[in-house]
Amino acid sequence: MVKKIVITVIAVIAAVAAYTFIVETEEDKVKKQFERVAELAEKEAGETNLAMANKSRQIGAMVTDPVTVTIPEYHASGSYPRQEITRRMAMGRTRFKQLSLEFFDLSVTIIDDTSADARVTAQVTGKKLNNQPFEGTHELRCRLNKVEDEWLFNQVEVVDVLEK
Amino acid sequence: MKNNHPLKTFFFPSLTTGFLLRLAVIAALAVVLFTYVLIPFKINGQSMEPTYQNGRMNFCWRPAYLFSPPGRHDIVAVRFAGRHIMLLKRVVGLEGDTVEFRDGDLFINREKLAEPYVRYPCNWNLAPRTVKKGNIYVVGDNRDVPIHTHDFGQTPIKRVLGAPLW
Repeated sequence: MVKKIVITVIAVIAAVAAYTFIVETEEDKVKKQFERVAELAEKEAGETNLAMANKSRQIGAMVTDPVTVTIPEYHASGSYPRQEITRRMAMGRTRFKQLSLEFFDLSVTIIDDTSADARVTAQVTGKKLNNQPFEGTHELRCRLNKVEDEWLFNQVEVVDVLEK
Repeated sequence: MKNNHPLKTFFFPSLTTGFLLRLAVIAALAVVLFTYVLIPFKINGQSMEPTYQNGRMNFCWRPAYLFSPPGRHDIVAVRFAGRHIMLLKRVVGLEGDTVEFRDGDLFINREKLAEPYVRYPCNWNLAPRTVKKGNIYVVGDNRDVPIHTHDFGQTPIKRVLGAPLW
């Protein structure tokens, strides 16, 4: 009897683990988009112009057209077309020799079938062109919209954790 | 021949059900303790020098402000989206206070605040501003940097995760 109970418990745990591992939820899909952004933002020293353009284009393809970006620290808020995001990404990358982006404490709330909210801490580290180390940490609040089965960034807001 | 030397028994205990159970309980308690009560962190940056040196380890004591809000001069850990990255800062202003910097001196409600923990020179100037309801005003101890490169300002008290253990 005890043996049967143990086997049943192990089987249930294995089934739940397998289900969690195999089935990709919408939340997982949103999280994967952040992983993808982090991958694309990565820049190694000596990155070619072609690689830079390719990565910037891919990041541009991950936002809706247009996308709203809000940065209270610089009193900047606006709606930008996808092309503009691609252009700014490429321009931004040229200012750095090395770049690395990491996301921490990502929490995702699926609002409905086509929209999701995410909160995350983003940490950018790298080296400027003059080899000076660079580091910036910001909390981001994002809204993602599901377009043709893909979660795209529709709003990105930098949260003012400390307001001078 | 069986060797029952106490040291050997201590380091290599028999894997009995009781031992495994105790091990599981201790592991579970350690996870809870170091995830929710005493969060270990490494200081990354010079903003709190000389009080806290870059690269040192410490723990964030979560229950520090469970029953009372942070007070002036307290050092607090301010969270971003979660617990993985925090800012270590000193509370200088409380809700309703007016905070101002004049030639490097900090004025609270138009009176100069004595800050023995600030050891490095500072030349900051910042127009007076009022700390909003439910907020505190935090600054690092190391102000020997341009004002625009130092992270400081007011933040909601609910963002305070706790205080450093030492």
